[in-house]
Amino acid sequence: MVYAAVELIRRPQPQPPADEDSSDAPPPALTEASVTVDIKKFGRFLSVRGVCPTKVIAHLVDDKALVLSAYAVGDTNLVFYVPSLLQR
Amino acid sequence: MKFKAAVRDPKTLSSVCHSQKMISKKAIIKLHPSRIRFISTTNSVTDGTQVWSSCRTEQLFGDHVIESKNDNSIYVEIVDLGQLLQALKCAEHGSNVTMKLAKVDTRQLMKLSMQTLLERHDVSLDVPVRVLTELEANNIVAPWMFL
Repeated sequence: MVYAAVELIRRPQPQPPADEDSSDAPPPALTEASVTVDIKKFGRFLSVRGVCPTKVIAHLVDDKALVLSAYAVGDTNLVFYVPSLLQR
Repeated sequence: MKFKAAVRDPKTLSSVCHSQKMISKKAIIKLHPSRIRFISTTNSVTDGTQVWSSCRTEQLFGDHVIESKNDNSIYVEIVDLGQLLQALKCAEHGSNVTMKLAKVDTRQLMKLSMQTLLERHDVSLDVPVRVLTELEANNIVAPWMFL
């Protein structure tokens, strides 16, 4: 999460071990993500209706958090960070 | 350190503060000539929910003066967002609304001044705040999701 709103989260590229030949193969793509959050915490996000959002983006950070970005007119944005109930 | 501005859009300011209040009674507002940022956090052990918002300064404020030795950034902690929301609610029904960071004795205040629409009375409402030190401001860090 950065200081501004979250449009796209890039997964950091893992560094190859120094003593092995570097491979150009990209890290395996994450095809599925899930997160369990407290519904009461999620419900707080609904208060953004007051700013009349024009776009809302939900990010699931696998097993870590739910991140909700709401964008409104005039370059206004709100980012809610809801951590998962159970973290590995 | 100086902050003084005409409140151009009390409704948006109020809506953003309302969303912040859903997370915590307190919020930190970073005042800067280009953007105004709002940060509310909860205890990371028991809750961990956070909300970070921002607006263009020009959208919220007109005729603003925001000056500080810390890159013209001023971090103020609103001690009770409910009080600020009440003041902004009055501002929605007033005219010539201004906001000013003030100090009365040892108390730091965000002073909202306005004129009532009907009788043109001058009204001033004080919201207690605490200005954060540069060290405190530097310790504000957004959650990093890949840790």
